[in-house]
Amino acid sequence: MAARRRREPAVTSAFWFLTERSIRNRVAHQIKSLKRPRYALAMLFGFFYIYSVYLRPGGRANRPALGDDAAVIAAVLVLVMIAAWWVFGGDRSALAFSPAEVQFLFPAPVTRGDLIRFKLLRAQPQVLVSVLIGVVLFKRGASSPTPAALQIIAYWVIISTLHMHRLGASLVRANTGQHGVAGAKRTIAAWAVVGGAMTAVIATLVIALPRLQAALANGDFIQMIASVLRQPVSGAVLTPVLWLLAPLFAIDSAAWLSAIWPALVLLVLHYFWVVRTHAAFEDAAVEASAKRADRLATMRARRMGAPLSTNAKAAAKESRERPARTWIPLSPTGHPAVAILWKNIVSIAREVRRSTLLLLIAGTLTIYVALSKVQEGTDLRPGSYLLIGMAGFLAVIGPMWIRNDFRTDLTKLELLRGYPLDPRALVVAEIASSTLLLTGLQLTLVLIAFVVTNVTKGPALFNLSFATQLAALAGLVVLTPLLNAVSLTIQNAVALLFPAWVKLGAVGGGIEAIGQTMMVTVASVLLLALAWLLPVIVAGLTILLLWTTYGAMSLVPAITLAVIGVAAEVWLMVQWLATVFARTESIAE
Amino acid sequence: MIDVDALTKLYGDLAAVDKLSFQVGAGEVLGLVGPNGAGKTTTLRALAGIGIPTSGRIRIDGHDMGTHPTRAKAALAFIPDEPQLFEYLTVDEHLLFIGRLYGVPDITARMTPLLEELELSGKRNAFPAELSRGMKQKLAIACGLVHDPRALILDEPLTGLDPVGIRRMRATIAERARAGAAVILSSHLLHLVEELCDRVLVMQNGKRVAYGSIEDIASSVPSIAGQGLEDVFIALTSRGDGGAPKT
Repeated sequence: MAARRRREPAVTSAFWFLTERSIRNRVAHQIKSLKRPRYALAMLFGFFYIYSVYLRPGGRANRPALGDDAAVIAAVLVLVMIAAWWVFGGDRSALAFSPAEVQFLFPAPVTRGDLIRFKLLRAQPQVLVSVLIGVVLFKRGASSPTPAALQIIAYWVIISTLHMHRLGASLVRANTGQHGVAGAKRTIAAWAVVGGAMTAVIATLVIALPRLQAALANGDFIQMIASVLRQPVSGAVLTPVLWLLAPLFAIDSAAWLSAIWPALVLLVLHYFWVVRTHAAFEDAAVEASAKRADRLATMRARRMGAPLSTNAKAAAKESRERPARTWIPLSPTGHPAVAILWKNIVSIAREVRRSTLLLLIAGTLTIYVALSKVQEGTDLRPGSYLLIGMAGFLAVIGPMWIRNDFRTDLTKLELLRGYPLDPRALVVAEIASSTLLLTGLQLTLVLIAFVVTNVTKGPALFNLSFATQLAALAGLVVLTPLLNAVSLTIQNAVALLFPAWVKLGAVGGGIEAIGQTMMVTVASVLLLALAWLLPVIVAGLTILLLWTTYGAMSLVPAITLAVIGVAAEVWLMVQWLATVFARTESIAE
Repeated sequence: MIDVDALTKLYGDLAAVDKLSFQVGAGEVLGLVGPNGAGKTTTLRALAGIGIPTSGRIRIDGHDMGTHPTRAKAALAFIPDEPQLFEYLTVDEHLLFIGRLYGVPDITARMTPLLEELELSGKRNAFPAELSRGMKQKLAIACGLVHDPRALILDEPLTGLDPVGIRRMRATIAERARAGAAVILSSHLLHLVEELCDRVLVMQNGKRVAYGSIEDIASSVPSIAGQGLEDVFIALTSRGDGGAPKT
């Protein structure tokens, strides 16, 4: 015990040293990178944005303080995020240590609890950056008298607590997954709480479905869902989340002071929960090692024809569980850029877990059926509007979400550069990979909405005639890939130009990474707006000139000109990116 | 086959490679040796078209890497010391992918004997995560060899291989050279270089400090005449003046 007591400060100081030096060196590196004009420009852009949105006198929006309904909706969103961590897992990033940390810390004489404490400490710099950016980008209205310092504390408490919750959920999932029945017994309480909470919320929503449908038609859906979720059972689930968010919604300093204590209690409870879970985590690691040994024993036993032990049978079963295989053919001849496209499509097909995909489809179908008045068998429009809305939402979020392009491949820059492939062809193949997938998803959703609504012969979509719907669909088939290509070209350009500022590959993620992603997102959205500006002006002028003579027919040349303009911009960007790629020797900047 | 003329690579003021010139003919194996930081990897990366030279010219199979990089790259294979593989492609799919990139119509026919040669036949449907370090290296080697390159650039190719794998790799390198490929082999395993290479290029501080057969290099310095490559290497690189005789 004495040795343990003597060692603890040394371990803590070593972790502090590692964290402090890493931050210091990283900041120095970022400052050094400002010598490069493109980083300096990006930094200036960032400061300009912060100034114009937050600091400029008179630039503050005079939004009213957010109401109770907004708090409930925010709590629901947080709850959905938490449910996703429990159901789908945030394991890969939440439990991940860097290769260097694994190499140096895992064999070091430190406990697993020390490692988890280190992980929490290591996350703090990113949490703090997220807090600052969150305060700047999602600032409360200027009408709120809550001082900025109190808002910062509120954000820190929320983000830190959620970070710990995600880590805790990942530890419980790892514990359950790796220990089998023993693990399930140990984590049954956690799963019971989570399962009970989810069931309560879903059941409340299902019972209130008719009221929600009516509210959707009346346009007061948000108020209705907030009211429904305040009911006793689901309200009990929401309450802890509302406690956590309450300081953010406090209308003044006094309200903040009374709201911060429950949030702090939640933070402390989470800390103890996560650190206490370390024992199970340690067990899981040991057990995983034992299973690996069993697996090797199984292989040896099979070669020798010996019978398998129970553990070895379980290990053998586990070893057969491999990533999903897809058989998308690739002809050995033809343009080599197709190989890049094939590789990127195969990669995303295997990255998405079948269970996740099935859950998404099942969830969408459930909501579709719930929204559509299927009992009457005619009006399927609400569900179809949902699908069309999802396609529209994908146009915004998809380019950031689907990343099977340079944002994945730049981690293997040396391989790409070694291939006998023209840089232009490579750039086109990379951008086409994500464009194809995103466009395919969107058009599938729209097509389902179109087919289902028209086949059932209910009320027409948007009250448009069949011919008009068909024309709109044809227009979407042309415009959607173009729109996506512009967005994804910009995303890839940002990745190529600022590799140090963009999440490349599967590294990183989580709440703490949101801040940096938002900066890049804002820049991408501005660039996208800029890309569409000129074509839209040209289209507008065309309509202005021709409308009096040709009426609605003037839309045809206007849209054609806009499409040609945007296509030309994409072509120019591809040429430019090809030269950028040809000059890029390393992404380690 | 591989023709390097006054290759220079600067990182700021630092010359990682300084006016390096050499040639490797068809069927010849050139050993590239030097202490850590001598500029070997920078040289190999430039030859493979990964790094961009500050000045100088590289020609692979008659194609200038600066003006016709695609043609030059199509003729060569670069096998790095650290295998870089795609997590979501199986062993077979890696080779199919390379076949399409390099335009190999009979890729499926070539795959089977190559995978057998490299003892990967039982792992054709395995993903990189399911392979050991040595198997990953073998897959990287298979990807390099499957399109039958005319120039082969190997950076520490034996890292991670087991003794049988090392023996087979040595045989493969010799066989490729006999078939007419120009091979550059960078390795700290001097006995391997001594065994396989016709000539040796010793680098230090980005400069060529010796170039020729081991016998010629050794005979040019009286104190190490008749010695093996290890003694030659130590004698040349421990002087640190970069002024050894060029043969």
